Amino acid sequence: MNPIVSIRNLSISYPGAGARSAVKHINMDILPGQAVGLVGESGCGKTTLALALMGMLPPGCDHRGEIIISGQKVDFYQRPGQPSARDHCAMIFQNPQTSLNPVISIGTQINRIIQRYSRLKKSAIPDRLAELLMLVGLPDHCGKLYPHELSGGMQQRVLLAMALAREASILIADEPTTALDAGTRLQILNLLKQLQEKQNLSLLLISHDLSAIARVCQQVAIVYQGRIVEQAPQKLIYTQPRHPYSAGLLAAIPKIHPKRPRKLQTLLGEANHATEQSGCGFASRCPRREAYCEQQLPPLNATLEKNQHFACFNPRPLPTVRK
Amino acid sequence: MTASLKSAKFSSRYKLPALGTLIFIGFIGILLTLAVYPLAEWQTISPDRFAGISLEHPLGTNALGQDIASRAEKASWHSLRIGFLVALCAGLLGVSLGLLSGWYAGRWPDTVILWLTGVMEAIPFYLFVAALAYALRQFNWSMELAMVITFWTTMARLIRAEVIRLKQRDFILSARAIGLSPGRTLTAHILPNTLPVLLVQLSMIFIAAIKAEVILSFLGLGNNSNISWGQMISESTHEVISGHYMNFVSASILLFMLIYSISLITDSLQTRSDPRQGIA
Amino acid sequence: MPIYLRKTLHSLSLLLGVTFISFLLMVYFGPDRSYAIAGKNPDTAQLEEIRQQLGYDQPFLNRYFTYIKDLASLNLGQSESNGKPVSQLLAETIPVSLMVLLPGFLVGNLLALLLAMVAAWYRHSWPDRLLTNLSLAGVSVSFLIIIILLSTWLCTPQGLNLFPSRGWRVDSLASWFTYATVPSLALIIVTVFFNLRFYRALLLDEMQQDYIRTARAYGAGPFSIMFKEALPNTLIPFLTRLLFSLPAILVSGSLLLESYFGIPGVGKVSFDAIFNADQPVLNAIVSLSAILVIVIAWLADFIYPYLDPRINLQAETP
Ligand SMILES: Nc1ncnc2c1ncn2[C@@H]1O[C@H](COP(=O)(O)OP(=O)(O)OP(=O)(O)O)[C@@H](O)[C@H]1O
Ligand code: SF4
Ligand SMILES: [Mg+2]
Repeated sequence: MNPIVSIRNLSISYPGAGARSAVKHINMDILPGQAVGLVGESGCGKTTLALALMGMLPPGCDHRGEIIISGQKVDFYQRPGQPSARDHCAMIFQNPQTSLNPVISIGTQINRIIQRYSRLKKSAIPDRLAELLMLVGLPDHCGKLYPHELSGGMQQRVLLAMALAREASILIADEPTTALDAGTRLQILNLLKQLQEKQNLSLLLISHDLSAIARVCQQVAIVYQGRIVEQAPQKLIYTQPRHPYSAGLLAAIPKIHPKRPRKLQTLLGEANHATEQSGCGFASRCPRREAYCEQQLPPLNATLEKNQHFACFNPRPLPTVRK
Repeated sequence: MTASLKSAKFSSRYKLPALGTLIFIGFIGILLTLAVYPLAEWQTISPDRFAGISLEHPLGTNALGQDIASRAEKASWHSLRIGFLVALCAGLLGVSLGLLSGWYAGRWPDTVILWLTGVMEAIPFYLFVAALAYALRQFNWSMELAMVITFWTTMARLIRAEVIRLKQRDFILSARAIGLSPGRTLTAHILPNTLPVLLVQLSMIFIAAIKAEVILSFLGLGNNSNISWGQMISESTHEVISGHYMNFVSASILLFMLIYSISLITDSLQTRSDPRQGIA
Repeated sequence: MPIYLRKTLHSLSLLLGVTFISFLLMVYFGPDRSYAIAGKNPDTAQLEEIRQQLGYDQPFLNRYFTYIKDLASLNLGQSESNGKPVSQLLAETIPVSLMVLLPGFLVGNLLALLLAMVAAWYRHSWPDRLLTNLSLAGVSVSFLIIIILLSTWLCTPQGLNLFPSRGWRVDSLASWFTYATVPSLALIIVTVFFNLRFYRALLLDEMQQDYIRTARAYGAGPFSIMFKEALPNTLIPFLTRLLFSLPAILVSGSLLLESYFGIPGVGKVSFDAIFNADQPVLNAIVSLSAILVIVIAWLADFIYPYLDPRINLQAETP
């Protein structure tokens, strides 16, 4: 199957950041109907990548590489309102409260997008609105309400409805559940998964929460300081993480009913953003570091198992198969 | 590329306030030079009407043969004096009332001060000046007094808002927790933090006072014992038609120089305290 | 207490304050009319009688209440310089002032808003820099200077000499253009300079909000972003500025404009009243314009909930 999104060797640095890039040499494919998770700690460049996909980078960024969506190259500084590659993408944001226009009713906000992207007749728009609201699990009368009259979960549903109204084939969700409470978070993730499957959307789900990704995604990429350090099918990442950073992230997930009570682990230290080192970026925090790690940058290689890529000289060993 | 970006940032950030400072220093410099090397007496009437530019009359003379340069110099001092005086007094009044009402926000001193602010803002300024000037006929400073009485309100509102905002901050809460008196807390901890807002508003009052004085004295509502830019402009309205521009040009350029230079400096102050609002 | 009742009471208390001050200044310390009425060389008995008729011998509070009663019943008295009832004088002049000022005021504000949109859209690049720098220089030019320059350029033989330099004989649209163009232009220029940077700051603030990012992500173009997304969010500060500068323009702006161009509006009337110490006229203008300010503020509180659904007068706690 041909990928619908392919990111080729993408590097981006913000103006004034000097040589330090927010995103470095990223290669990534998203297949039609596939859900890909992007995990990493705060500041590792997840939002930057999403904005690049939308052609919405702030002016003055330095970039290399390219993104191709459905065979069309993305213009990173797309002027608003012009037709472009990003018409295939819809994006929902971290903070639903501020992402909706506070003085315009929900219905009007969704209608504007329907009008812009569908070829429906004017008279058919109210029906489409009702349909979309139903799809995201909102009662009909919500159309008349204003954002402040909705809970955070409902607001995120409205943004999802807007994304669907766009009739895009790719949905980018940038930390869609971070601002929500635990119960609502689950509902929204389930809705996201259900919609993605029903509408056969390609999904890029961004989060710093591995458990959220596990619920929804088939493929996972782990990002550290702008680089993908491990990329693999969801199952492999969770059962046999090879990169020490992935393992650290996994160990930091609290388990609610652990068979054996386990001490919650935290990653030692903090990401070192200040300098651009020549060796492995994770070296200063890595429990498996060896002297040679700091000499050279570990490339993102596929090892024996073809679909698990990781950038590490001294990866965690594969778990021994028990007979 | 980064270096050029940085220097571009530097220039746009400092060029305009630097220009403002330069104009202001130039303005004051000329006035000080003229204080050392005095010009002709500004009131002296001579038969030399509408004289052109000469060594004796650097800006020529007006319809009465009076030296325009020395009149402009006197008018400049007059404007500066009014600007500083009104800014100082209205500023003091506004700051004290603002501190008081911010501190007692929601209680009666606040209610009274807010009411007073509302009342003063509802009265049309020019008519208030005229009425006050009439009521205080014997008093030479009625125009300045009227400005002070009306110009403090915005300052009070801004300082009040700042105090209410700062009162919730940890360092104020802890200062109060260790038992610092309200007076000390206000003057030692809150007031210094309102400084950006305070300075910007002070120069706004300065500008407003000078502009208002020019219009008032143009209309003949000013203090007639002093020469002012407004009077010069008022004289000049008849002269301009017959092609004598010096009175008008010198008064209006000096007025523009003073206000523009202060505006440039104020704007950069404002940009620094709220980076979103200013130029560049 | 319900919030609208509180607001109304507050407005009434402001009215009381304003009328008190104008009473104090205009009536109590204002010109003594007894001499004017008594004519030349009055004797003390005559004067005493006139003072009694005028109520000057009454105690302070009584006079104040009489004053409020007169004002409330729109019993504004008669002009002392020409004997006309003040209410008739105002009825004649207010429409003239509105004709001179309102078009320029509205056009100036709209133009400022449009230019502010351009500046906010191109923030920090050259159109923005040009506009903001121009308006900073522009507000530094006195209104007076703008009026003189414009009229010298457009109304004198020194310049283009297209319009009469003074006067007002307006009975049709064409004559309106003859007499009101230059004053309106002057007003438009100051209004644009005065408001541009404020409106730009308002819009720029909105442009940085997340919902604008959402709109951009969902394909909204520049027009849509400015007018349909950002503008509705700036409506309250925009209207506030518009409404609250209206009384100032009507009274203070017209004072300069109308006395300069010799237009018989409220400004000219108050200018004449100032110089003739025509106390009933001044009094009426000060009180009425203050009342206008307070009524506008009172009305604004009731309009705002329609502009921003988050404002709810009933739910607001004191
Ligand atoms: N507009 C900007 N200008 C300059 N630097 C920026 C800008 N936005 C982000 N950065 C920097 O780029 C890096 C990546 O930021 P990004 O927002 O992509 O991170 P993120 O992974 O989305 O983090 P978070 O989880 O906090 O949202 C960070 O170091 C950040 O400081
Ligand atoms: S390359 Fe070395 S330092 Fe980097 S993650 Fe692997 S083991 Fe750790
Ligand atoms: Mg982010």
